Amino acid sequence: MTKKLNSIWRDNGRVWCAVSLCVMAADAWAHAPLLDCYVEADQIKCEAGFSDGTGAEGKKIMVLDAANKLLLQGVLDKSGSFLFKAPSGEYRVIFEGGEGHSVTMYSAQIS
Amino acid sequence: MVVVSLHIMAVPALAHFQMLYVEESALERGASVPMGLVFTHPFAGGPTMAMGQPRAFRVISQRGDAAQPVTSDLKQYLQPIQWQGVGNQAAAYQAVIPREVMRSLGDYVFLLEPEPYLEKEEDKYIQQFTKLIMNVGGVPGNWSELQGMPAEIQPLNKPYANWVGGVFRGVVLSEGKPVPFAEIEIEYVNHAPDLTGKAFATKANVTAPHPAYGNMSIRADAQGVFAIGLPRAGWWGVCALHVGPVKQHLNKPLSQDAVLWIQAKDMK
Repeated sequence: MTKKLNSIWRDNGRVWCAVSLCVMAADAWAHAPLLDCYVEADQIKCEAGFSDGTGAEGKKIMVLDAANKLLLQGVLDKSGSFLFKAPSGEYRVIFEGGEGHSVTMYSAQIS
Repeated sequence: MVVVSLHIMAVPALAHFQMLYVEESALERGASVPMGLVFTHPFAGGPTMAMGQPRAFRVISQRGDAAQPVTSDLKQYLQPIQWQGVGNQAAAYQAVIPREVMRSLGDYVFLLEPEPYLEKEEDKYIQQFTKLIMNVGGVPGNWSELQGMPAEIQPLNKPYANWVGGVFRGVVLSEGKPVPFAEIEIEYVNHAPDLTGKAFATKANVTAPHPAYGNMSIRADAQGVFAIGLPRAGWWGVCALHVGPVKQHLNKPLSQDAVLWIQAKDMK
C-alpha cells in the first residue's frame, strides 16, 4: 500500500513538473514586445514595452534603411522611449525584446 | 392588482447608469477618441436624464507596471449636447479626447465625477462616480489601480479585454475599503449608441424574458468581490449602489454610486 502511494506521489511529481514547465513557456509567450512610433515635434518618438507590463528600459532599438544598413542604434530610456531625428528616405525601427523576440515598425506607419 | 403589477414592471427601469461611452476601448495605436457622457437606463435606452456640468473629468494613464502615472484634466474638452434616447431627449456631454492625450502605449483610466442628479420621484440625489478603462497597443499599466474615488469599483480583470462567455471580477470600495455584500446592478447597453447622431438606436438588440433580466441585481461577497458572466458582445455596465460616504446633498438623501464599464468581444 505504501509503495503504491509512493508511486502515485512520484506520478504526481512528474505531473507537477510538466505543469510548471508549461507555465514557464506560457510566461515567455505572454512577454511579447510591443512598439509604437510617432512624430513628436521635429523628431520621431518610439515607445516600447511588453504585454505583461514589464518595462523596456535598457533594451536595444535600431533604425535601418531600406537597404538594411544600420543607421543608428540606442537603448530605451527609463520610460521605455527613444527619440531620434527621422532619416531621409524609407527606414524601419526594430525593438529587440530579447529571447529572439523583436518587433518592427516601418516609416510609412509613422505619423 | 393591476396597479401593483405595473409598478413591479416599472422597477427595472429605475436603474440609472452614468455612461462614459467609446466605440472601442482597446486601441491598436494612439488616436483621437470621441466619447459620449450620457446619464440613462442603458438596457431600455431611456428614459435619459439631464446631466449637470461634471465636477471632474480626467484620465490617468500609465505605460507599464512600474511607470509613473500621468494625469490629464479633460474638462476643457467637454461640450454640452442633447442626447436622443429611446422616448426622450436630455442634456448630455460629448468630448473628443485629442491624440496628444491618447498617443502613448498603455492604460488610460477615465474618471467622471458628475454633479448630483435630483431624482424627483424619489426626492433624492444620485451621483455616480464612473470609470472607463481604455488601452493603447497592449502594454498594460494601471488598469487595476485604485484611483481614490469615494465610491469605486476596482477591476480584477482588464475591462477592455474580455471574450464573450468569460467572467469579469471586481471589488466594490467605499473610500478605498471593500464593501461587504454591496448591492450591485448590471445592465447591457441594449440600444447601440451613435456618437455622431448623438442618439441610441431605437431597436433593441435583445429582449428581456422577464423584468429581472433587464437590470440584473446581484450582491458582492463578504469581501466586496463580485463576478459576472459576459454572455454577449458589447458594453456592460456595473453599478454599485449607495457605497460612497456622503449621504446628504442640499438637505436631501444622496446615493453615491460607483460605475464601471466593461467591453466584451466575440471569440471569432
